[in-house]
Amino acid sequence: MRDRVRATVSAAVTLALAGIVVWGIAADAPSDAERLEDLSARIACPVCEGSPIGASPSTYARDMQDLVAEQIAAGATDDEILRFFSDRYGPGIILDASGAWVLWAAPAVLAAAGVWLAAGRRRPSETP
Amino acid sequence: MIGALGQVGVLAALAGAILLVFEGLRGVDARPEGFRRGTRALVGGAVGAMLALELGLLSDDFSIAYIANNSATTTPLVFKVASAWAALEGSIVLWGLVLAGFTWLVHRSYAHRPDRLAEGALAVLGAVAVFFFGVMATIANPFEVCTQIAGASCVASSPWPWASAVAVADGLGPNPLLQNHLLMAVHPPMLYIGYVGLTVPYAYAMSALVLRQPGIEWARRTKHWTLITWTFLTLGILLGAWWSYEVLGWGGYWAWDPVENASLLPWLAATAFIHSSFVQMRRGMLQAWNFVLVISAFSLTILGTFLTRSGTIASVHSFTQSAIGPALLAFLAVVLVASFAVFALRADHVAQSPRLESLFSREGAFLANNLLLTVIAFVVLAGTLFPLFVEAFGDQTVGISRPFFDRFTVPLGLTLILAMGVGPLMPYRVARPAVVWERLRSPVRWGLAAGAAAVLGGLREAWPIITITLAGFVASAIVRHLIVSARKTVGSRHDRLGPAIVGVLRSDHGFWGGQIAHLGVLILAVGIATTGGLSATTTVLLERGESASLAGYDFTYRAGFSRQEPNRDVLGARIEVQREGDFVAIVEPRANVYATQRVPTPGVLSRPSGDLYFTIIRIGGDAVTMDVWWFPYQWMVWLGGLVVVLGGAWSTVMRAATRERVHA
Repeated sequence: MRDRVRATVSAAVTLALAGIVVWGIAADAPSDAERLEDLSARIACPVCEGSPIGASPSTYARDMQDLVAEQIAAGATDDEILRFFSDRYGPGIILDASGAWVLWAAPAVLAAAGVWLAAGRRRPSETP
Repeated sequence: MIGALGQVGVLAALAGAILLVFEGLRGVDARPEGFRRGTRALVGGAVGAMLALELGLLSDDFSIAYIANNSATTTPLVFKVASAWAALEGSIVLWGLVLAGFTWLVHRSYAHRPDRLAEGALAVLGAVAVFFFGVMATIANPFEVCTQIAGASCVASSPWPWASAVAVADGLGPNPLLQNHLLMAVHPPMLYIGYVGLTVPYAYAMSALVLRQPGIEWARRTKHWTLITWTFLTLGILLGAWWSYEVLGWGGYWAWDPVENASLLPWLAATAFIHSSFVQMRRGMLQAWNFVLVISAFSLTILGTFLTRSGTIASVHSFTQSAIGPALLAFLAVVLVASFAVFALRADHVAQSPRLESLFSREGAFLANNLLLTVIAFVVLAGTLFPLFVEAFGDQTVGISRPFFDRFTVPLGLTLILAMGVGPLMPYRVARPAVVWERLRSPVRWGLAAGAAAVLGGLREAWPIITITLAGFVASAIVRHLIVSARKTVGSRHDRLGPAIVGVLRSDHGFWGGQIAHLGVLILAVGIATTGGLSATTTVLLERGESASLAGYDFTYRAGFSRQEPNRDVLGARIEVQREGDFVAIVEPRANVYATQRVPTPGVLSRPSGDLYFTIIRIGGDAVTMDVWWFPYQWMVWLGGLVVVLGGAWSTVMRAATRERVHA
């Protein structure tokens, strides 16, 4: 009886803790300032050797940051803002290489191949 | 005179290296005497070359072109010593010296017993040394005589010691970035020991393949050598990150710069090998895979050297440009083709692994670890090389930086941490879920408690919360495992828990060294998450007496100052930091003006809750413009890295101590 109570209490505590953690993760809604910082790290400054507009002190980069801030305030999504810049300056301006699908697909293919190989190493129980 | 001495050293080392290769090619007829002579000549020559270079630097012998262009009479003593590896030609002398040192250690490790595996490894080490000393003797000769000067630098030089020399008056001095912090004297040697040390596992791998001995003995020795060099490599990377934080002043310690990636890639391969070698030694599995990992680790060091030393990638580390680029690329191609050709020729002798009984087992966890590390390495490699390929073969450029790397490495790294908690609790062969769950139950609860505590403390950022939860889980799994193991010995071998814990840590030092390193990774991961996810930054323009604030700290520009040092002018700002009206400290970010370049030295105020970090952008008149950052719990990054190094050192040192006891 006492064991049952203890098990129930400990399960409840575990669930409550998990609930708090999940709630904390779900409550992570980026503020406009955080979005600006994030996007500023992902857009290159076209006149300063590929460094992001967030890290460049040049006037050009600051102007572009203002443009991003305006679009955030106007309610544009991250994708819309990135597309705006890649349409104007070419896909190279986006620093996470999201235009280069090869680069994104390759690790996934490698991981899948690895899992397949590892699973294939398992000995089927019927073979000697 | 000194230059001629150095040249003799290089040639003697080259001769020794050739002798090692030649002796190795004799196969069963090889004479121990030949290996001894070859090793002696290699080591003596390499030491002589380095001594000559240091002598030249310390005595300001500007008739040597390298010294004229990389040192100056005004260079402080410690940076004169460090100038030996401040540029291409000198850094190859250091490379050669470290390689000779490892060759000497390998020779000493088998000394008086006939040991064909080690002799083969010596021959391979010799072959690698032939390349590097060959480069020193030809296209990157550090002892060339200066024959023509223009302004303060030497513009033409001759390899012949009897050429009539001209000398500049004061020397150009090392690159300002390299004489700005003491770490420059320590970081490169540590990194080189780790980097070059990976030649030894590679040499043993090639020797084992050629001699058809791909068994346990190869894996045992290779793991031992890999662990030593891995420890130094980790320390070198950590010191590099620290240098970047303390010197470059861009506001961080890791930028996914191609050259940082170049040091990380072999580290990832070596880490994967250290884990998978356990599987080979315990279960005889993954033999072929282990060869691939060791060959890859070595090839990645050559690739890294190529990236750093050829000027291919314009980055903070690529200080040099010369004919060595094509030579290194050719050497890399030879290494790859030769290694995998030998591997293919000996494929029949690499034992067919026994098959895995269940993926839900320790072996399965090791496989998961290797898969994750390999994918991370692949992402880093692809992200580093892809822009080069696009630039070389396409008509547009592609920018790849932090967002790309973060997007892959953060989730992959966290999955790796999860595996780090589960793996060591799994038994070999087949794990019964009930047994594993019994061991996992309490750590899972501790992890959730850590995450919940962070959330209740006000944290609302997804990645840091996840990292803290996982770190709490893995840390409590490790501590629980340690206490459970120690309790078993209380009463029999020990009276109290304290000594019992030390006893456990010492007895299975290989495993527990790994667990210590894992604890370091956890601290590091939390540090990376908090400094990355919770940092704050602002740019301020302050007149004298004006204040601004960030992260609860108020800072006031009190005064500017300037002083002249022999090798530079220092401009600085005196910043007073306060918190809630109480004085905290004076911080002095500086801008150092060298003859050729301005280098900032950030002012860092380190406190338990985080670092306040100031970098001067502009200073003059009565105003200063600064970037200011707040990095919460920055110390966790350094502490975590040090604990990882400690874990590697624990395994190595305890192994040596145990062997001594056994032999005594």
